[in-house]
Amino acid sequence: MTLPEDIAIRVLDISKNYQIKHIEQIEAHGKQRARHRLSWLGRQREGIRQAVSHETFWALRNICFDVPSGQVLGIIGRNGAGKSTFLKILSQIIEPTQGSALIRGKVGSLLEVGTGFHPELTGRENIYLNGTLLGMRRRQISSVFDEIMAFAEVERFIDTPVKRYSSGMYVRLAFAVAAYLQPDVLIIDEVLSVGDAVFQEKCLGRMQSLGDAGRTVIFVSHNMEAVAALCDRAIVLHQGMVYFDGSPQEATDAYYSLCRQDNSSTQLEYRERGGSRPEIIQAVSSAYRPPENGSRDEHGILTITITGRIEPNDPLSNRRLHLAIGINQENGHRLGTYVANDDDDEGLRLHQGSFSYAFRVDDPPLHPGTYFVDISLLCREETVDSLQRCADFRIPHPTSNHYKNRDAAWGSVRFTCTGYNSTMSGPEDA
Amino acid sequence: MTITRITPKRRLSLFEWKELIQYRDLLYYLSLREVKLRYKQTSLGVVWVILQPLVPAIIFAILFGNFARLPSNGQPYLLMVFTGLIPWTLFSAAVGRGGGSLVANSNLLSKIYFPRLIIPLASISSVLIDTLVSLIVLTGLMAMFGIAIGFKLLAAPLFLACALAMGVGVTLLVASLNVYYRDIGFAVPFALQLWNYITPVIYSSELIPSHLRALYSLNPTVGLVEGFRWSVLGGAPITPLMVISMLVGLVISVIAGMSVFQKIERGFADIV
Repeated sequence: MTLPEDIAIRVLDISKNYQIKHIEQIEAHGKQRARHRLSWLGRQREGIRQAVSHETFWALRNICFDVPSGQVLGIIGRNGAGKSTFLKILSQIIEPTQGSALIRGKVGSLLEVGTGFHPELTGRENIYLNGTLLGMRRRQISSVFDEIMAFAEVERFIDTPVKRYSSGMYVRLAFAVAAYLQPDVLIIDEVLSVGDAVFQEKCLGRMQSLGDAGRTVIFVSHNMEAVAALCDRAIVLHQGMVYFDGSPQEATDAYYSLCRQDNSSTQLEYRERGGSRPEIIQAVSSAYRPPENGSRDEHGILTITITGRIEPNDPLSNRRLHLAIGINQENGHRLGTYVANDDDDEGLRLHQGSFSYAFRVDDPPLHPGTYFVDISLLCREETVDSLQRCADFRIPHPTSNHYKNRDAAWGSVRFTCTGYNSTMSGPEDA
Repeated sequence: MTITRITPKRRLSLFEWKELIQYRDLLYYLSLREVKLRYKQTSLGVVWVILQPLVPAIIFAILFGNFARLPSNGQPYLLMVFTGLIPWTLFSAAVGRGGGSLVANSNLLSKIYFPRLIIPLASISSVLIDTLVSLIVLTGLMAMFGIAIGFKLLAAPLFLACALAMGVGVTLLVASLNVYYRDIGFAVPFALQLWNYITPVIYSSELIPSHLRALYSLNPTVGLVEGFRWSVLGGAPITPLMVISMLVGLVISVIAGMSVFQKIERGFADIV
C-alpha cells in the first residue's frame, strides 16, 4: 500500500463494529431448575433465567476516500452517524474492525477541549502537559509558548491554577495548545460549540490559516455555516456510511434533506411545549422551495403548515383563536413573528374536528441558512398550545455566486431596496 | 514525512520503543503532575515523604524489637525494618499507584493518542522520588547507628532495579486487567497486604522455622528485601534460592505484564 505524493489521507474500506449485549429474562420452568440458576451476588432472581444474546452493530461501514494535501474537509451528519468513531480511528485511539488508513505526516487531533488539563496545575504547567500529550517536544512548546498565551489571552494568569480560570479562559487555552501544535494533519471534532462568538471566530480563523498554509484539516461540525465557510469539501455520514461527498454547499443541502427524511417518519418533534392545552396542535411542517432554475423572476416560497384537532364539545371550538408563528435563527434568536388574523376581529374560528392551516410567504427576506419555527395558539391573553422549535426550513445558497463570501456578520434579514435616489456631484467649476 | 498506517490488530508486534522515546517529554510531565498533585496544598510537603516510611518503621521497631524482642540479624531493629521497607515500598507502591492508573486516566485514553505505556510508567516514576528520599534518610540512620559500609553496597542498586522492574511487570498486568475487571482494583490492596506478611519486611526471615525456609524463599519479594538488606547492612540471612526465585519472578512478571498489556492495549479506548 503506497500513498501518492499529493494525498494526505487515504481511507480504504474502513469498518468498525461493536457487540451489543441484550439481556432477556425468561421464566424458568420448574423450581429445581430455578434454584440451580440462583447465583452469587443475587444477580439472578429465583425463577428468572437470563438469556444473553449479542448483536453486531456497525458503527462504520466501508468508508473509502482520499483527502488531498492542504484540503479542509468537513464531516457532517446527524448524531450517531459515526463521525466521532471515525475521527477516533483516524486519531489511532480505537482501531478499525476492517480496512485501513494511511496518513502522511504528523497527526494532531482535538476531539475534546481540555482533555488532560488538570485543574490543580497552573496554566503554564497545563500548556506543557497538554502539548506533550498531543505529541510535541518540550522545545517545540517553548518556541510557541508566547503565541499560545497570546491567543488564549491568559498572560496575567499563566501561573494561576486553571481551576481558578473562567470557563472561557479554560477553553481558549485548550484550543490554543492544539491550534499551535502545527501538525500536518489536524483532526477536530465538534469543539467550537463551546466559547463565545469572538472565540469561535478566532478559532475558525486559525483553522483557515492552517488550511492556507497547506495543512490538511478534518473538521466535524454541526454548524453548517462554518462548514460552508471554511471547508473545500464536505462528506455527509449517515448510519455509518458515506452518504454524500462533494462541495460543502451541496453537502449541507444533502444533510438537511436527510434530516427532513428522518423527521417525516416521526410524529411531532419539538424542543419545548407549554400552554393550557398542550395537545391541540398535532403536526407542524415547514418547507422552502427555492426559485426555479433559469427563470429569474420566479421567487422562492416558504410554506408553514399547522394541523391540529379539537374534540367535539370542546369549549375552544367557539372561541376566537390566533396563531402566532415565530421564525428563529439557528442559534435560537427570534428573527420575527407573524400573527395570523391579528388585526381581524374574527380571528380564527376552529371548529371541532381536525383543522389545517397552510401559510405561504413569497420570497421570504432571509439570507441563506437554517431557520426554526415556533408556533403558539393563543386565545386572547391565554396561551393555549405553544411549541418551540417544532419545524425547520433551509434557505439554500443560490446557484449563482452572490453569497459565496457571505458571513454571519451580515445578519439574517435580507433587505430589498425598491428604489433609490442618487445625487452625484462632480468637482465644481470655479 | 512519516506515514502512519492504521490497520486492525496485528497478531504479533514488536514493542514500539521508538515511539516511547519520542514521547519521553510526556512521561516527564505526567510524572511531574503525579508528584505535584500528591503534595499540592499540603503544608508539610516533602516531610510527608520522609514520615511515611519512618513512622511505621519506628512503630514496628518498638513493638517487635523492644517488646517482642524478635531477632534482627544483630542490627538495630529500626534500621532493619527501614532498610526492608525501601525495596518493598518501591515494589508495592508501584503496583498500588500504577494498578489503577489506566482506569483513572480513562479520559485521556479515550480522547488522545499516545503510547499507553506512559500512563502506568508515570505513576510508577512518582514512587521513585519517594524511594530517593528514603535512601537519603537511610544514609542518615546508618550514620546515626554507626554502620560501616562495604563493597556489598554496590549490589544495592541492582536489588532496587529488580524491585522496580518487578513492580513495572506486575503493575502492567494489574493495570490492564483492571480495565476489563474492576474487581482487580478491590483485590489489589488485600493482595499487597497479604504479600507484605509473607515478605520479611517488618521481621527478619530468621524468624521462619528452618523446615519452611525453602518454601518461604520461593516468594520472589523475599530475595528483593533480604538482598537489599544484605548489601546495605550485611548479615542478612540470604540464600541462593531467594536470589533465584527473585530473578525468575522478575522475568515472569515483566514478560507477562508486557505481553498482556500489549495484547489488550489497543482495545482500551473501546472498553474504559
